[in-house]
Amino acid sequence: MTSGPEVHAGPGTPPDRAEVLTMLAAFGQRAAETVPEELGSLELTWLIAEFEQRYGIELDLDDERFGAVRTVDDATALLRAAVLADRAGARP
Amino acid sequence: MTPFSSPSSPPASPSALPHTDAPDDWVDTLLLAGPGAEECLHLGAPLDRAALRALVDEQGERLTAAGLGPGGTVALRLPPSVAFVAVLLACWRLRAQVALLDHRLTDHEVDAAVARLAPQVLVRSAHRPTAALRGFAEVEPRAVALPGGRPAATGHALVQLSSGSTGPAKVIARTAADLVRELNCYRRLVDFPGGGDRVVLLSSVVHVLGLVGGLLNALHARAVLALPERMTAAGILATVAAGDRPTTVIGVPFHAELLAGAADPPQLPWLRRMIVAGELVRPGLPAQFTERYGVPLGTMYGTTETGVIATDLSGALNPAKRPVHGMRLRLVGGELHLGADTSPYPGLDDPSRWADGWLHTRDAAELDEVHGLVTVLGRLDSQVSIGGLKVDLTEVEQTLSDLPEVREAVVVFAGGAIEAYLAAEPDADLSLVQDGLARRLAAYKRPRRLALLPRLPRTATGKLLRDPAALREAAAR
Repeated sequence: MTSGPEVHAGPGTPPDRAEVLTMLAAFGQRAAETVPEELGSLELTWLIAEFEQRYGIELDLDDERFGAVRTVDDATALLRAAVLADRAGARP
Repeated sequence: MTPFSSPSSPPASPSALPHTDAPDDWVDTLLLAGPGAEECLHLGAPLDRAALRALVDEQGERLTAAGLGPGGTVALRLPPSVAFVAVLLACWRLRAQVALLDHRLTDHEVDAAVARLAPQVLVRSAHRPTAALRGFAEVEPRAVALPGGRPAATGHALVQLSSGSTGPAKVIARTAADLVRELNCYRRLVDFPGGGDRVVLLSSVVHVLGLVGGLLNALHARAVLALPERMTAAGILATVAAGDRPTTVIGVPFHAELLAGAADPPQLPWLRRMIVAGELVRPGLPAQFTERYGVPLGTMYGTTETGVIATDLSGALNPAKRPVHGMRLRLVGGELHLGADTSPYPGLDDPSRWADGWLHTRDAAELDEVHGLVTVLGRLDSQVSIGGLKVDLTEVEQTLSDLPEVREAVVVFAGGAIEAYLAAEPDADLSLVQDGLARRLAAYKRPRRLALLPRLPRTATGKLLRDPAALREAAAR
């Protein structure tokens, strides 16, 4: 689990693990507790689409960084970093 | 058995030069013809037919300079791009045999493919594409003559490699005449995109659905083919919204999932339908998609070997489909066979895959003889579909087993994902295994889950256990 400031759902505040799981659960209309810890590339694509839609932030990942995201925690860290960087005025 | 099932002469790959079985100048007359000012492609910007013809001419000169000519062989490793289209058509216009390699393959996989196919020329992009979610790329193609390349041994125009099981990957080949036949099948489907329409293509242009159903049909039928800049729901919807012609979205079921889950989609007055193929559709998805967009989610079934086989473009027959014009089907022991006069596998004499004029699909199916419909039930072998891309689990298992850290491996498919269970050397580092896989296998083929076990569970008779639930339990201990 990554550390960071306290979290409130919604644009501007970085997503936490629970929110990432909620976004992932919408893929195939699953229950959040059935989302596996390991992410496939389709799930990651889905997650990034959901994230961009909710946060209005576009992630431009190269293949290497995309491929390095393997778990829900990896994805949470990536998305949190993206929100924090966006707040700071710099895109990751 | 249908009345059409007369056995043909023994298997023979077409032996003439590539393209001699198709109408003369078929690329010019069937794909590139039309008013010069008519828009045909839209990859970030509109491209008209005159401009595309000029690009094909230019690439033709470069390929000729690289030594490609009639009966020659060339492999393309290019991402979806205007350059891909121009190079492919230029190669075919030179009457060469073209092998398409997915740009997502690793260097290791491309080296193996080149060694197997021995093309005379390899065309790749000067820079590797970097963005993971881009729908297309801007690339500068480089044609390089390869020492040891061999001219075409058969009359096929198109060569593709399957995800291999054990041994070398299977070569799947099609003639120009067969591609023209498939295009004619599409023209007979009134709900498939035609002249004046617009196609937003989400599937890869190097695989049969995107290549023939998307790219070649659009060029032939004179529809506009558009690719989204970004393959997210917002990016796809923005591309659909940008057109002002009747629009069909073509993709795999995953793309329909993406769109069906989009919140607040824009008004899409020109959207007519979405068509998906490549794997089975989740049962609730068509209704969810139609509720969101007010248009049908149609489905198609096809193979790399034959192209489109059966369709349900209105979604009214789901999960059944109606065979396309001229397609002959039969069931043998539950396996679907397709009428095919010649084997699509050059160099392979395997009667379990093609024999006596019938192609064995390895798909389980049901035939409704009364209504003339087919329902595909799933695979009978170890091939699975990840986002519409075919992966043979035995290839993944073999690749894992070949890694120095791994003693043995079992790879299974569960819950829509590939899982691998490994018995490794005592001090093995899982990250080394992951790195080794990343060098050898394209991302979509890699297991989502890698579990390390002291030893793999076996049945009472000593066989490796392949039940996903039992493997998970063993990994949790």
